[in-house]
Order: sequence, then structure tokens, then C-alpha cells
Amino acid sequence: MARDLAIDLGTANTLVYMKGRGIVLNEPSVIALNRQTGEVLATGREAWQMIGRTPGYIVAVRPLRGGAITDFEITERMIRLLLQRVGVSRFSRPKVVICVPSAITEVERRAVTDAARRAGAADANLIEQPMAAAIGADLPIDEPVGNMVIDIGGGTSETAVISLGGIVALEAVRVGSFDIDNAIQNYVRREHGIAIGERTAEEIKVAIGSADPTPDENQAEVRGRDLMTGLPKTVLLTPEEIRFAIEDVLSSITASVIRCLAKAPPELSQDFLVRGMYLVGGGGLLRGLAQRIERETKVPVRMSNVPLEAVVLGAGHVIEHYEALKGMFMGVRR
Amino acid sequence: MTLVVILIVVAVVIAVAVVVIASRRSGSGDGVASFRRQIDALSPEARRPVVDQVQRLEEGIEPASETAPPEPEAPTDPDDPEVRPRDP
Repeated sequence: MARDLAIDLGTANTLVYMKGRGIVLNEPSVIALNRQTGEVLATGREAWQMIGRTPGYIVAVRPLRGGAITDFEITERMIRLLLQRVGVSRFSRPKVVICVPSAITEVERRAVTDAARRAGAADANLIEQPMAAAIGADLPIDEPVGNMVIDIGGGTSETAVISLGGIVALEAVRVGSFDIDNAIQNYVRREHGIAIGERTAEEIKVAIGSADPTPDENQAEVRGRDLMTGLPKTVLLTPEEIRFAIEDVLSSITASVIRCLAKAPPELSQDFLVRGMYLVGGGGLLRGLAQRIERETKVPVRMSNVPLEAVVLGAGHVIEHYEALKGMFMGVRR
Repeated sequence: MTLVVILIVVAVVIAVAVVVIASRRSGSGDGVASFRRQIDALSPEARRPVVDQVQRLEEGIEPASETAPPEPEAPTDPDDPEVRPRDP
């Protein structure tokens, strides 16, 4: 008998929670394929290490972009392999709850559930990421008070106001930490004339990226390919340059938070000033981002204790109380 | 004869009305019960196992099996990084 599963199918990472056991898998959402035969060569961390470093016949791809499936077949294969790794077989088909961005379309919704069913799930239901994040971040969403959660993922940023177990106001933008990496890549190409890869851009973000000036700021030496000569070249980047490069992405995220605050009913708005907003998701780990949102909204921002795992823990709670919470699935309460 | 038919029709209409009212009443009762179940399942007591897991994660205790650490913050090959932090 298969144990039921909760899956946070993120653009950056996929986490799997098994009923009664907790988080059993946490891997990058990457798959490496043989371009000629279509054979899967690696998934997860192993495939992530191949990004941008593969010979011509291998391709390492992220099958999800902006929280949506861009390649149905590859996503299905990735889910199938993930399920196999946590013990799902042809003879043990579990119920699966999958966390998805709240802004996905009906077609994208169907693509995710179909992919999970074909990959071996007996039944697949979807839950909005901000709702799962609020449960996982241990916010008192069972009470008639305003709880605000900001989930900044790889491909989407979502802000939700939750009260009495339901979403009251929601604002989502298809912008996330991968857009920050892209902005850095474009800036370095434009201003320094060198090409850098996706992983290098991410490393720059982690090393010196920030949303607001911070006390301990360092410069970073970055190596890439000179676009004029084609030769390897090293340039020096400053945190100010990175802040300038990612400004548009950060403005878009903070603007969506402000729009969500404006949508919230006044009775709940006053709760935010006391209780604050909770930041979850890997994108929320960007230095100075909480301070910047706090500065622009005048509402306290608190970081979740488990920003990367909050969503899957919330979905895990739903799978543990499947019958009582099945009314929270997308499409059920609408 | 006509009177009997009218009585039968009235009886059928009353029976249908009773069934409809009863089903509506039980429906609203179901709604209250399922909402109550949902709120109870989201209560702090029900969420204690999640809170325990959060504490375990904070303390750095690895869960059951294949959990890998989050993506590395530094390049995978420390001898050949493409990004090297430098003091100003």
C-alpha cells in the first residue's frame, strides 16, 4: 500500500513529503536527457550540476518555467522518476497533492494533474502555494485574523491574505529568482561585454546580490567569455551594480505586494501592522529583500524559519488530513 | 374520481417539497460540519506534527531518506570558481 504524497513542484526545486514520514526528497527540478535517444541520464542534483556544461548530445533542462510546465513529456518523466525514488511502483499508486502557483491557467492545471496521474498517482489534486506556505509557516490561518504570506519562488512571486482557512486576497506575478539571475546575466553581457551562464549568475546573486544596501558588502570577481574576442575574461562586480541590474525585478515584486495589501479588507489590514507579513520561498533569501519590502509598505516583514520547506510542509499537513482539508483543493471550492 | 386525482397530485407535491426541504437542511448541516472539520484540521493542535518538523529542520536533523541539502551557495568546484568574492 503506497503512502500518500505531497509534492512542491517548484521551478527551482522539487520537494516530496510522504504521509507519516515527512520530507523524503529535496532536489533541483532539473532533468538531463540524451538528445539523440531521448533517454534520461540524470535528474535532480546530478542533472543540475550538468547545466551549461554538457556535450552536444546531452541536454540538461528545467521542465518548469514560471511555475508552469513548459515541456509536458519531460515533466511527466521527471515526476515518474521522483515517484519511483520514493517507492511508488505500478502496484502502489498513492494519492498526491501538488502545490502550484495560484495564477496558473486551467490548461496548466490539467497538465500538472495529468502528468502526475500518468506518472503513477492514483489521484492528483492541486493546492495553491501561498495557502500551503501559510500552513507550513505555522500561521494561525484557522482564526478570523489577517495572515499575509509572500512566497517568492524561482518563477513566480505570490502574495496572499489568508483568514479562516481561505484566501481573501491574492496577487501573483510571473517573476521570481530566475528573473533576478537573468537580469544579472543581461547586465554583465551589456555593461561588461562578457557572457556568463545561468549558474554563474546565480552564484553572483548569492555572493553579492542584495535588494537594499547591507553593512558587509564585498565585490566579486566574475569569469566569463569575452563577447568580442571569445577569450575567457575576468571582471569585477560591485553590489551596487547588481542592485541596479535587478531593480526592475524587485520593483515588480514589491509592487505586487502593495497591490495585494490594497485588495485586503480594512478589518484585516489592521492585523498586518501588528502581525506583520511572512516571507517564504528561496527568493526571499535575497539579502535586504525583507527590509526593502518593509520600507516600501511600512508593514513589518518576518522571515519564515523554514523558507524553502514551508510549502511542502503545508501540503504535507493537507495530505495528513486529506478528508478534512480536501475542500481546499483548487477547483473544489470555486 | 377527479377529487382522488387532485388529492394524489397534492400528496405528491407535498412529498416532493418535504424531500427538498429535508435535503436542503441536511446540506446546510453538512456545510457547517465540513467547515468545522476544515478549521479543526488547521488548528495549532492539529498542526503540531508540522511544527515539530519545522523544529527538526531548524535544528538540522535530516528527515527520513533522500533529502538533499539546498542548492549550494558556493560553486561546486572550490578550486575553480567562476565567482570569487573579493574584499573592497
